[in-house]
Amino acid sequence: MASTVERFGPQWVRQDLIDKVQGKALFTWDVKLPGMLHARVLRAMVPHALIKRIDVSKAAKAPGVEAVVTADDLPDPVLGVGVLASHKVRYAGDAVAAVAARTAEQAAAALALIEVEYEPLPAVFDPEEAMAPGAPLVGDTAAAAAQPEGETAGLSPNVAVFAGIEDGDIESAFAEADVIVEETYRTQMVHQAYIEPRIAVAQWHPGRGYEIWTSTQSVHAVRADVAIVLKEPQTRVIVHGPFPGGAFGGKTGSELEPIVCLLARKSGRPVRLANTREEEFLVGNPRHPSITYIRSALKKDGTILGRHVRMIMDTGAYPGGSAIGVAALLSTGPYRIGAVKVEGYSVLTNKSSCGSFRGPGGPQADFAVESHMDSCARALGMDPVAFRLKNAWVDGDRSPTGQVMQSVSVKECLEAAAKAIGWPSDPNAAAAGSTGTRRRGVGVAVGWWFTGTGASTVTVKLNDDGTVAVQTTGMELGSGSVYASLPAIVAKELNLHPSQVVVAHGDTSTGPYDVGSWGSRITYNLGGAARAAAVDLAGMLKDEAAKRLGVSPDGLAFGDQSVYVQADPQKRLGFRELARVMYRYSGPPVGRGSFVYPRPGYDRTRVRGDASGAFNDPAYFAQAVEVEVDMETGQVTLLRAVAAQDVGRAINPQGIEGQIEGGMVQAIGQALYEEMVWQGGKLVNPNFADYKLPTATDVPAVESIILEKPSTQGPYGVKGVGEPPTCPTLAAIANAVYQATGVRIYETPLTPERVFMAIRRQNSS
Amino acid sequence: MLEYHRPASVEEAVGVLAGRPGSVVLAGGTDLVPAYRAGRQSVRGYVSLRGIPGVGELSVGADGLVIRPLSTHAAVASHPEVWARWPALAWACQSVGSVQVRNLGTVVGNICHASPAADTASALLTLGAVVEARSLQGTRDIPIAEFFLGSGRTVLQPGEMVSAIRVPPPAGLGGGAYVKISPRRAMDIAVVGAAVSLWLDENGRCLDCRVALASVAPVPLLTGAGAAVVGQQLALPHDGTWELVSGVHDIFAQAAQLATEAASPISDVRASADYRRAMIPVAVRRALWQALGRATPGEWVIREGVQA
Repeated sequence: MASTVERFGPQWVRQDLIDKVQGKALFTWDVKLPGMLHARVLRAMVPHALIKRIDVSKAAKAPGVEAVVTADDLPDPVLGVGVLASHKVRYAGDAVAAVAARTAEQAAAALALIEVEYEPLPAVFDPEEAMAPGAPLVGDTAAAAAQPEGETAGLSPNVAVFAGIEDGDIESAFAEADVIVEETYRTQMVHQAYIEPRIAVAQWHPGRGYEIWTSTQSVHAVRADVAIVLKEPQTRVIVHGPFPGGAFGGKTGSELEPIVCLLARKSGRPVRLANTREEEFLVGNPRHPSITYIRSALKKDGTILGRHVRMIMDTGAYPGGSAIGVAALLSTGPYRIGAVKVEGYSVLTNKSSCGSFRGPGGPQADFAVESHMDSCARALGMDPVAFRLKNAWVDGDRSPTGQVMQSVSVKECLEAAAKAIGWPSDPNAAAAGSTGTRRRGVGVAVGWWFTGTGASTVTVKLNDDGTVAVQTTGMELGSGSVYASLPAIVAKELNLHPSQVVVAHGDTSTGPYDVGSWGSRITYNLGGAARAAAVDLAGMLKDEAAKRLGVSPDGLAFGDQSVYVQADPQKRLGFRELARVMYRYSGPPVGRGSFVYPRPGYDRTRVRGDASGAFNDPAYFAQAVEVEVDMETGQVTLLRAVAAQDVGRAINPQGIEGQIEGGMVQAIGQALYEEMVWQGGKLVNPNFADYKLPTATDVPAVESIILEKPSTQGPYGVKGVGEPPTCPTLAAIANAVYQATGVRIYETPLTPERVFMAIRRQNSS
Repeated sequence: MLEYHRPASVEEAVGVLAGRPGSVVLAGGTDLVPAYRAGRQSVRGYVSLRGIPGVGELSVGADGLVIRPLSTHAAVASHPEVWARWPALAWACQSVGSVQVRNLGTVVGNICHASPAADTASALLTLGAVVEARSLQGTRDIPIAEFFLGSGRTVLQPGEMVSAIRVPPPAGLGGGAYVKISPRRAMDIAVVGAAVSLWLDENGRCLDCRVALASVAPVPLLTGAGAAVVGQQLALPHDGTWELVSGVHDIFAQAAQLATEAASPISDVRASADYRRAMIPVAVRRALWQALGRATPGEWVIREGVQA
């Protein structure tokens, strides 16, 4: 249900679609090189231990084995922390050694012959225990063991990141409050669960270094990591990015690539290394579990005097990602609040290393604050929608960090979602009147999210037949942000049909730099770069045509693959002719572009540690759901799901709907079904039988409502799209469950058992 | 080297099983193939049944239902006679896995895998099915209530395979149900499963009732809970339809209570013992009501004060 006012351009079948539908597109899984070996990794089965001895001699002599590597093969084991453990393992899953053999079975068999002697260390699995002074130290360097100072003084060095925000006098806010609402929310560890596990193929060329094919969100990030870990100049690391079979934030850096490079070099042959599904669960940078203590000081009229948030994220074995910094800014919501204090901690434990999963920090913060907003409204006897509308930002309001908000659309999104779900005129009465075994309720939640930044460059080249190629290394993760948006944008600037613009996807040695496909940034940044490159080329073409037609470039326009004089359209030069003469005589018709823009300002005195200071061109959104709760089993059935999202400008509405639907379904999985369950440092459900993704029978059709309020800086007003849909779903569902049952669920996932137990507790109290 | 046999007859199949110890029968493969790929199963070889004529046939007649080794869940669940006469089994087969799994997976494979959570096992327990085991020594009949020994263990001896499951005909106006409590609607394993089969005489008195449970004991569990229902008046004929009698609610609650007492659920990654225990009466009551509804088709007449 796209409510786009005006289409950006024509719809067409983008170039990668038919190959993908027919199973012909090249994924890393499909890469096969002559003489290729198959590798497997030996992973620690203990959560925390010193490595006393590793003996690979038997494995090296096993049938079919061509190379075995350990941290000893790294140029510098310190640079390889997290790649291959040299003296200590931090979680059951840490890579200790790897084997390349003629078959994957031979490699697996050889793993069993590697002898590793461990000296077990005390382990810590609970982030709050890990924060306490005297907790076992997860880190393994002297720096990691240094006693913290400043904001985290007195806590364990396991606190990897602190992120704080302070705005106004929080003490007085609570002193003046009519009502104080204080709650604790928890979220679980969830996995991106893409279809294609991590996989990399590498080959060593003595003359030009490492050549890598990998399933990644950024070929340049992999190149940078590998170059550092293997101490090679970047020119000697060539990274190809075939289509990744899903990523969702899980494939932002290197993981297997340095290992497979070492094996390729040692064996002298190409090597393929793919994770099993079990390994993928262990090393996939899942979403940080969180604990959020949130309390609000309220006036009877619904004014929010103050909000205090203390949030603890469990980051696992390595301090991956910036989720806590983002969550700190999100954790008070897009609302006018008198005073704010946020204290965020990201804490090491002996479990899988958490990292970026689509909207890192978003679902955690949004679940807490948007569930809490409903509780605040109920405590005041107000309608939760009306309470949000009363306090939601409008243009010109300031964030807790002092950023002046522009192009704000919280209210528009909330009103659209509430209307679509049929928000009741008196939700409190609806909640009170619900009886029987199966009870229905509706819930809403809003959110805001930044549009990611970072460098993107694009080259737009006129071919000598008059067609246009867009050269990029931007990774197409499936949304269409590369293969649909870039041709649409370039076509717009040159007045071509998008099918006349071909995306030429390059590797790190041939393609223009792009930092990576994450942070909802591709259409914004890479699209901005593509527009700049197309404008650059357009200028060259007009200048050349003006010279040859003897007119001023100002009066020229594009159409039918040619440049013509607007006042006299018969006077024209075809792209083909222009290409011919420009390549031969006057310089190449090749436009280059980056997307450069100022970052939003904020008040630095309000920000502590790694908290996000400002959100670049944020997107706003709201979701609404209707649920039915089986009071006897606790089963929550989603009947309807609505997502209203402000995308700024919809370049590719079909792709945007795909992102909204897919993102919300992924969040429904976190809300109701999925959890990585750890017992004593062991992940007990690393498989799709017991890690429960929602099936097609469990989710309703998502009704997406696209709103367009142009951003301040994005090309054509674009805002980020991909991550927002994962943020508000958890709270929207929990709020609907509350309206249906009168029971507040403080922890995700809302499994039947958890909901049932909460109902039983409430009934017995 | 893994062996793969494709015998052309059941005789030949049991010959391979006897002559090549460590070989296992491969039917649909929906349990065995993933287990093999994950390295969870070490076997000498597989004995595929795909080359045996008629081994997937489903026979329905006056003397009951015969399920053969390659009869799939989908074949059972799509047979109109099974829906009409053995509804507990039809519903159980329909609740297995997904469409793809039901198209490949077999009922015989489901019981031989002997998971305590096996959906079809509890239904077959309520129907008094008989498992026919075949070996070089001949054929023996095993009542299904005696078939399961523990999780993954049955009374089948080395060299034996299940050649059929025979389900006797209904003993009256039959109704049955399988209620599966699981987080997902598909591709899920029962947290608790309850199968009920009951039979009424034409006056609405219960001739027999059996209640079996999945995922609450080391084996699929036939409970004695049906005793609370047998002999009770559950409905009265009323102008071509049925009138619900008072007291059924309490009878079913009592049966649910008995079933709960028979169970010994454990905690695992799928649910706590506490939740399982709480779900048993819910699943049993729901299955009983559904079964009664199927035994007494048409709109019930429910007088004021009678609790449905």
